Amino acid sequence: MDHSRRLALLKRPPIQRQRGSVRIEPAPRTKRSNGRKSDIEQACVGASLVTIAMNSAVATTAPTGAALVLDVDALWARLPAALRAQITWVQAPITEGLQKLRTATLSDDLLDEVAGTLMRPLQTLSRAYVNLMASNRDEVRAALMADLERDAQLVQDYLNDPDAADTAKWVLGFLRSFFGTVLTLVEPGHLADIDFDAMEKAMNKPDACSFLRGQVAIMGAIDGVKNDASKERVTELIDIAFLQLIDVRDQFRKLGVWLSAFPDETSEQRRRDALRYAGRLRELVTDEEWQAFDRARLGNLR
Amino acid sequence: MLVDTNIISEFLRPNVTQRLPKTERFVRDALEADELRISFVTHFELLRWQLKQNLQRKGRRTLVTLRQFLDRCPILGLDGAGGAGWTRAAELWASARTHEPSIVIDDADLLIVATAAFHDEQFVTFDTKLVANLEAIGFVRVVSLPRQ
Repeated sequence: MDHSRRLALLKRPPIQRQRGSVRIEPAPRTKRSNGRKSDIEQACVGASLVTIAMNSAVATTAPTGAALVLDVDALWARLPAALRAQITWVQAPITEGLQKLRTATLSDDLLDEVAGTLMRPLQTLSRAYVNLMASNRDEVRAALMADLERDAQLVQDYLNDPDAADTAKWVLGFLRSFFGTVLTLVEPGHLADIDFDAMEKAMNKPDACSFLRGQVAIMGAIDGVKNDASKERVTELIDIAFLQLIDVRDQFRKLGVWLSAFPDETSEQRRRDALRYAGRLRELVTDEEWQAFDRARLGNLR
Repeated sequence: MLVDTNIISEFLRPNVTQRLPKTERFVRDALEADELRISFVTHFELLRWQLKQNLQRKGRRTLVTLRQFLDRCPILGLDGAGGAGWTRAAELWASARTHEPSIVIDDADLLIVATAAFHDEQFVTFDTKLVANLEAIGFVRVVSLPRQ
């Protein structure tokens, strides 16, 4: 797809301002003139954040499903009352979904279910938030970064487990890089252009919307901290978020977008961390498991 | 230097400092000096094993830790320069098969060795037979590490 056509597809109606309030218009349906695009492609055109900021090859392929939401309460408080009144409905499903992650038996199916349920409310909230960016983008970005920093501290204090805290740092560091990049490069209009139906279809594909799954998992973990959930559950959710988001990172890298969870990390820190994780693996993997690994090693390819 | 999977897997085993202190020291020193490299074949072997464990619901935390470890290791592959690393692997295979007597090198070993050759790294392994075979076909940047 050429650049101008993609931009045309991404175009959204202008934000209508009325006496200081902001009204959110529904996102336009994207029209296809030639053939049916894949669900993932459609989801990207409608909803991806970082992809739009990058080059045209990236824009149509990376399945993200990301929403500019992490701390729902903080974000909600920043919205003007008039705007909140228009989207009050988003609160209940988000609260219920996060509660499920805290209390129900954790499984891939549960994560898929909650991510699917939260997709529309989160994207609606995200769209509302993006509209604030028209007035001061730096303020919006700074507020989001403050949320990330505060959440990282909250999780670290709650868990008292260096492994889980490290993993949470990776997850929140990756989100910081992602949001920082997106909010620096992407036009707010593009961020708010969301095709809900395409996203819902994409949710049915295993490799699509990993970002949303990871994001929902870390939101569940943070919500768990705030609601005094068990530390095991919070740790599990952090691990799940990590595994989802590291896949997302790899998908971006495949497309040439090199996001890092720790952009300021030095070589020395990387080596030190490698040694630390090697030490942890020695505690986690038994000799018997390594023997099984040896038996399963790659030999000949045919 | 690029180390074989067998060295990395030993380095990650429990009690390696007691069982194989020299190996542990060797890898640690190389890592600290920013000289250690591993192949994507090793990455593949380690990751597929833990992914399987994870799918069998035993070891999500281990998988997370392994990915964190691998994320900090410099990993080299064969795909740069238009796939020239694969050509190097083919050349090594052909050299081994046309040697008198013919030498058979496992594909996994071959791809790891080719990765080292492609990136001009010394290849280090516990496998003395592999070292002898590689030397027989004229591959000289190879070192056998004693298992100690």
